[in-house]
Amino acid sequence: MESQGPKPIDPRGPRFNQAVLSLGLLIGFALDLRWIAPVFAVVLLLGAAFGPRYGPFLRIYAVMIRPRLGPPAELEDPRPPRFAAAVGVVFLVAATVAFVFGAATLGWVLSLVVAALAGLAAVTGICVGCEVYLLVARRTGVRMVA
Amino acid sequence: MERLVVLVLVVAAVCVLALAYRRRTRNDVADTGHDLPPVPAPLVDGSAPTWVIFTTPLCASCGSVEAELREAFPAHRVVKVDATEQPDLAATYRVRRAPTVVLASRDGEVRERLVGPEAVRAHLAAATC
Repeated sequence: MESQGPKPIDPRGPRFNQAVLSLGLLIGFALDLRWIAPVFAVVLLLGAAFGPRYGPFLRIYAVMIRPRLGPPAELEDPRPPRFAAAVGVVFLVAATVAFVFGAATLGWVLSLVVAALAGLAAVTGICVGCEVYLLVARRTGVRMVA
Repeated sequence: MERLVVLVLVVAAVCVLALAYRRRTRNDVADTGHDLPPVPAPLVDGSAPTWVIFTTPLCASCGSVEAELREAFPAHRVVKVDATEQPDLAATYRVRRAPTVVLASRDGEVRERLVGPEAVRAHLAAATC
């Protein structure tokens, strides 16, 4: 891992992103703001597809919050949280489609799944998407050496 | 009103899971491993105390932990075990997080069990005082 794969990142960035995502979706649900799903889908997509620099909340963390904090206790591989974000994009796009076709309940169920998992990840660091990534990576033979 | 109920249920579920996780993590860190079985050969070869680092393919801090242990204890052996490749061995030593580091004596007896890079660094800091 030391000499292979992308540069490790501060795990607090993705956790901040997840906290904002979770809170936003919960508020959106409470106020029936259905546009929140596509908005956050785009937010997640930017970070997942192009890297942390392009995720709005990741950028906010890097520019405004991280300078005020000490160094992280440990670093993490960026690939699992990006994969988890990609999974979130899929769910939120599906939620958006559900809203468009009038299936509001389905749309909110999908959104709340994302909100709950993102909230759990933000608070505990448990990343279900990251675990799935590891399973997929092992099955496809992606070489990552610790 | 229904939305509020659902909201409360979702938040409550996340809180319960988070508290359970935190409790498990605290217990894991406090587990010094003195009741663990001896570390088997070939991880231990009888020549020197051995630091066994349980890693995973995505452990970003495992490399630095390995380097710090090698520098702090040049006379000790340091070996890495991929917990995902050897899940049975990882389960034996109650590995739930990477890195989990087990210090074994020359004959394999577990002397210390450290969970996470911060525990390793705290141990190193205490050892150098």
